[in-house]
Amino acid sequence: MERYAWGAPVAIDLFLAGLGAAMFMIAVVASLAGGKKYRRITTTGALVAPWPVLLGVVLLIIDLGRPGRFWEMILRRGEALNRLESPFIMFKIGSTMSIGIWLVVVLIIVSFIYLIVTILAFPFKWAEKLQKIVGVIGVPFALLVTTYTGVLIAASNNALWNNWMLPVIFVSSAIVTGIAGLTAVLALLQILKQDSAIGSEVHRLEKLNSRVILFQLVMVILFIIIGIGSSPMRAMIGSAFGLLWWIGVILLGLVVPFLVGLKGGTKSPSVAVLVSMLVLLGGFSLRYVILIGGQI
Amino acid sequence: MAKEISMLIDVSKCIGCRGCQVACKQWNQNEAEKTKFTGTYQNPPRLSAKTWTLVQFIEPEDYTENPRWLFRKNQCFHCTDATCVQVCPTKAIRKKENGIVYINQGICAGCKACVEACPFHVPHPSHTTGTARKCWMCLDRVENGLRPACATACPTGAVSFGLRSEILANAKRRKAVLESEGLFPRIYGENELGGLHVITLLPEAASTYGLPENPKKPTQKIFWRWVVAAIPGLAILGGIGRYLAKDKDKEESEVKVKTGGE
Repeated sequence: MERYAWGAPVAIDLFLAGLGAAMFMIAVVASLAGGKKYRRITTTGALVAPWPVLLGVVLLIIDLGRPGRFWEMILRRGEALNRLESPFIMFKIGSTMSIGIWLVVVLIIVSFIYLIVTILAFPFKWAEKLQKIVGVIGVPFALLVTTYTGVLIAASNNALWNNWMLPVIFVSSAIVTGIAGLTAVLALLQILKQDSAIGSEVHRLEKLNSRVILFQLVMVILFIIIGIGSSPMRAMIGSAFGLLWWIGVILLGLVVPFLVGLKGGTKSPSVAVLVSMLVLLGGFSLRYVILIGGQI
Repeated sequence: MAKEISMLIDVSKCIGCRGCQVACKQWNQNEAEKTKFTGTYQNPPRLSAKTWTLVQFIEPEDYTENPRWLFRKNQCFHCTDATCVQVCPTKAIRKKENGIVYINQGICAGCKACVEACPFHVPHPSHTTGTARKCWMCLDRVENGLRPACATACPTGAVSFGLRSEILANAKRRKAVLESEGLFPRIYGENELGGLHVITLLPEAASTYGLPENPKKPTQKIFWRWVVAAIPGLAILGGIGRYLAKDKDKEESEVKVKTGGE
């Protein structure tokens, strides 16, 4: 703990915030693109998405030097410095941390409303339209939450993080893990319910994810190429973290799931859970390696 | 309105006595650090939450000239365009009209955004208070008409303190003296980051003294970082939507073909 200003808890938070925000976005996009056809994906996403974001915020608060002062980031005490400022709300447009906290707060509220409306949409028809409206309102916040996790650490004095591709790979990694998270939950449901109808959804998500993973692979390669001139990047990919990077992030987290999706998905739901777990672990390792590797 | 103040660190006058370090610790009641001998007089090895100023001992290994032993007092530079002030989400870090940048210890929540953003790696998280801590140019002394503790302690005049205009004039006078001795000095901090309030007169290149030659705000172009990341994200979401919509149509037509055939 002494060595890193931002340690493992922050890596977990960046991962969870991205994961939850991405699951939310995919739930909404699926409901818009397929209507009732993708009801399983939408419902799963709506029910699961708020929790990782909430857990991430709790971890972030615990990781503060003074957790009890979390409210200083939300509420203002004392005088407003100029007329444009609210005397009650603490918000700074120049501070990525401040923007991020507000984005996360709004996303938690909207995603819980979305969860409630999604449940209501089962018995009540009127809630279906409301569900779409709430979803569309939430997507910009969710997208910006995934973006904030990368921008926060890219705009720093750290030569490894100060890379233009870093926020990009954080965003696409969030979406990749979001799809994998939904795949894992659906495959688990398939095992529990012995319902083969869920299997087609699992396959669809696996095939979809292989395309996003391909994009992510290209972005990660660009990230390395842009950074390779700096010594921290060479140190990171050459160190013990490099092993986790090449095997955990690239091979197991991206290449293997890509090949699985390319071949039309896994045969059994338990393998699908396993492959999704690889993607999730790879996504977490990506944050961990970059966050800690940048501070060694 | 309070007038802008500045500190001048004339490293050509520094003898490496570290009186400034001790004075800083005493006035600000910062405890000592347990350190190990690492082959240099520089001790503690770096700035920390309880060491706000530090004389760095530098032995350049360029072998082009006679061996040199250089000293530079390191501390917060109190930038005019301070990144820490910008990134702090609680407004605990503020800049006084006289130019001093300080962290309000009663507000700081310890998020460490300033620690990761400062281009000079100055603020450090404290494990005893949970907050970020750094030099505040003895704001309590300055507001009561005294000089900062380090400037008071310096026995050679390497550290001086006063109105910014006078300090800059002194720096230029000393620069001319060093030039007449055949050196290529630089006034570090006259314009860097909007003007630093700790000006260092460097007889050699800034990088020799462990300073960035051209310090930049890491948060420059931050708007474009948002844009560069959000647009591919939007594109991926659009792609997912198209893929799912197509997949749905494909299956529906398959179903139709099947039912039509029956």
